Amino acid sequence: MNPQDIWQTVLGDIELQISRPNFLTWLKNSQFLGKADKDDGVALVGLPNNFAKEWVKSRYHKIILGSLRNVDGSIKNIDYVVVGNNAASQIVSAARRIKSEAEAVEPQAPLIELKVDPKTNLNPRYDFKTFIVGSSNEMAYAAAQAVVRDVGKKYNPLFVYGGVGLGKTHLIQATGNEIMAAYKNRVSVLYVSSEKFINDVVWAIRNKRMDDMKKKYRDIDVLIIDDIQFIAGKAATEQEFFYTFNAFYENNKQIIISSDRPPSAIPTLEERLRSRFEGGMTVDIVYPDYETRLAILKTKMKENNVVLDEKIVELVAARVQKNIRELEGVLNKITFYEQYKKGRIDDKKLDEIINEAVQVTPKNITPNDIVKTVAEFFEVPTADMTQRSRKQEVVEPRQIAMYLMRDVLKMSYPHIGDRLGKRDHTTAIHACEKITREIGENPALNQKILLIKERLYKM
Amino acid sequence: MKLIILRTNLIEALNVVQGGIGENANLPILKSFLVRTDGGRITFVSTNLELAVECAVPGKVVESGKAAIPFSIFNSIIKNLTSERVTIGDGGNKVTITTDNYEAVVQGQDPNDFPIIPSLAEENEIFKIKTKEFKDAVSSVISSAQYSEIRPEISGVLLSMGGDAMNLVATDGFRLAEKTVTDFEDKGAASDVAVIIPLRTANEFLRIFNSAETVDVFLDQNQVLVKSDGEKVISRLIDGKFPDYKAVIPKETKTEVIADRQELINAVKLASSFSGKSNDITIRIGDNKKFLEVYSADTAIGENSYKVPVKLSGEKFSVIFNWRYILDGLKVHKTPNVSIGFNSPDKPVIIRGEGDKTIVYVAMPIKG
Repeated sequence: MNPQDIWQTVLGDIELQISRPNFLTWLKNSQFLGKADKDDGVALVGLPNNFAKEWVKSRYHKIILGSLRNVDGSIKNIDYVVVGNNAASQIVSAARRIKSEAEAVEPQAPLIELKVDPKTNLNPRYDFKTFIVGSSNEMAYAAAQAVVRDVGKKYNPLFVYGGVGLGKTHLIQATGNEIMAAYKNRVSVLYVSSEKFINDVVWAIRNKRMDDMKKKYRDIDVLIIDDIQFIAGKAATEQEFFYTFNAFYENNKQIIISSDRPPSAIPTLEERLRSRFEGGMTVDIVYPDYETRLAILKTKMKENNVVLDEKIVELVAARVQKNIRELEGVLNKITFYEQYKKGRIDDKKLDEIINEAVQVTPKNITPNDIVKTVAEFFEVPTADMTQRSRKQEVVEPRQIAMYLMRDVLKMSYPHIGDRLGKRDHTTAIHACEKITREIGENPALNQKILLIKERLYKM
Repeated sequence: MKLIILRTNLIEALNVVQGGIGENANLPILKSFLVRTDGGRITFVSTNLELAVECAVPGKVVESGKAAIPFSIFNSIIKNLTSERVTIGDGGNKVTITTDNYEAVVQGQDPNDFPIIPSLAEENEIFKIKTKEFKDAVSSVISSAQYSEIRPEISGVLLSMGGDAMNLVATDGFRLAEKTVTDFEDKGAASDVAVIIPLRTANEFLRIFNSAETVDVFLDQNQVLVKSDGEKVISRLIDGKFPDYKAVIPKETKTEVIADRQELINAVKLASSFSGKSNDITIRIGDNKKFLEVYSADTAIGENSYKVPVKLSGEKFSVIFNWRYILDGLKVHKTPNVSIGFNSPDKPVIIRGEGDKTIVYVAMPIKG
């Protein structure tokens, strides 16, 4: 029998022997901490405060010892200890609690170093004011706003997905912060990375404290989980998450999830979880367009109090396209360089910095790698791709391979045509143009290409 | 039990135990206070299970014993009596209150059901301090504590000891006050401690201990006890980690102004009546650098501006504040002049008393 079960038995026994108010006041928040030492037969009982300790020791010691001995005959005595936790405050009725400062002033800046909230895990640095909305993320932004207005009711769960460094974490944390602000702390928000969630589950399983873990998560009104894709394939975690999810969903509590890909594209994710994720609102954040990138750069510059030549800013915005974090990185490098050299950056160095950020990946990728990866992705034979086969199922993969060769390796059209079934360069041009056009219109295709690229870079 | 107590003494004792009277639906006895006799001493006790207050009452013990008496009814009886001598007796759980011309029988509770008050051993004493010094220190910081329990770890006053000094600190996340105390007698139970005393307990410290010269402070892991000859407050401590507040206090300031404290208080109070919903007032230094201007405006009310002569070193500036935070910051000091240090419109401001290094007050501006 584990300590919790023992204590439940004992409490059940004691509840019959003493009055209910006394039981609720003194013993409800007690816990059994096991035996102090294996042999001496002293059991440890934890109580929330000194009042409870004194009272229980003087009034209920005999009853508790008797009940404990019924369960475990080796116990000879009990030591009472005060377990510092917030249960002490729970013992006092909610009515006594002081009302929260209702007229808290919104724009009041908090003392900076006190900011990170240990309870919610949210970083207040992320807010909607600094979230720059463009066509790439306006859907996601609107959905997040709707969630703030209608917590738990409208879009539940809210599933945000998009590539690395596009602002998913910013958006979901800002949503959490906004909810905290809007509801004046009447709701409790918790932000966890999926890694933290996994660790919690592992810890709970190992220490047999699943109930604590369940309680911890179920006392929350808004649960925000970042990078959910990592829980895929971890059966116990998925199962626990599934239960937590259901508990939230049934109680109309809000769940906000982020991932680097849509639920349907997370391999090894359990089907029942997938369908639940898709049951709410799924929104994506794609690459920001030029105007958005420019706006982001300008906001960052204002934030950091730096001034750069308009031309430079435009150039950076034009060339760094795929990652906002890179965008910031490049900006920081340029500012650093200018401050260090005390003058305007020269074009060569600027080019160098940008290239460094933009062209990190395609070094060792060969045309063969592309063909192989695409073939594997679509599960078609590699041979079909490179021959003149016109089978329906190889047409799209082949076009995508052509597009990738052009996009990633900057190969010439005749060369591409030659590699993929001795085709004419016009065929290659047509394929590249078609895919480029369709990426904009067809999110599914865009997603496929992102996944292929990801695999390609992982090789 | 039979006691004879003077009415004025009773009123005093009731004022002390009032702070400990609890409200607990499960345990109605907390609405009562306990009267008990130890030899010739009479003691009143109240508790809400977070803190307990005890106080010795001068009076005559005719017959020893103990009783639990509902506070509110007893309090209103005593307040309205006219005779000086009050006799308190009991039989069963009924308490009788008699004077020359008045008699009341109050339904009491079984005193054996009254919670047992925890105690702290002598060796847990960490310091002895002049009552005035202690109350001054607590009152300098208490207005900055967070009033609600949203973040339990700052809903109290931090007491930290290290070396020869002791710091009391309170913050609500928007402003912070720190008071350094050096004039106390170290009793050596612990050298480096940092505990968080709940706000309500700290308020009790201020409310009682009105006559004693010195108080003794005892600490253990989860409770604090402050006692004088006749009075005693014991309380739980807040379990949590106080934020690293030292990091919040600016190390240096770009601009420093020295101004008359009372005049500034007037200025802020006046400006407050013109400030809008967000309580914002603007504090700025104009071009001639001779005056600090306290300005506020609201479209519905109008605008006003108050000029306070200052000594200034540094640049001119303009910062928006919540006037309450500034007013509190000015009020915690006692010196005739205060020095205010500014950095930039989004950095905390620091208020110190001129010539008094023991109190530091930091407040954040409102985002412009």
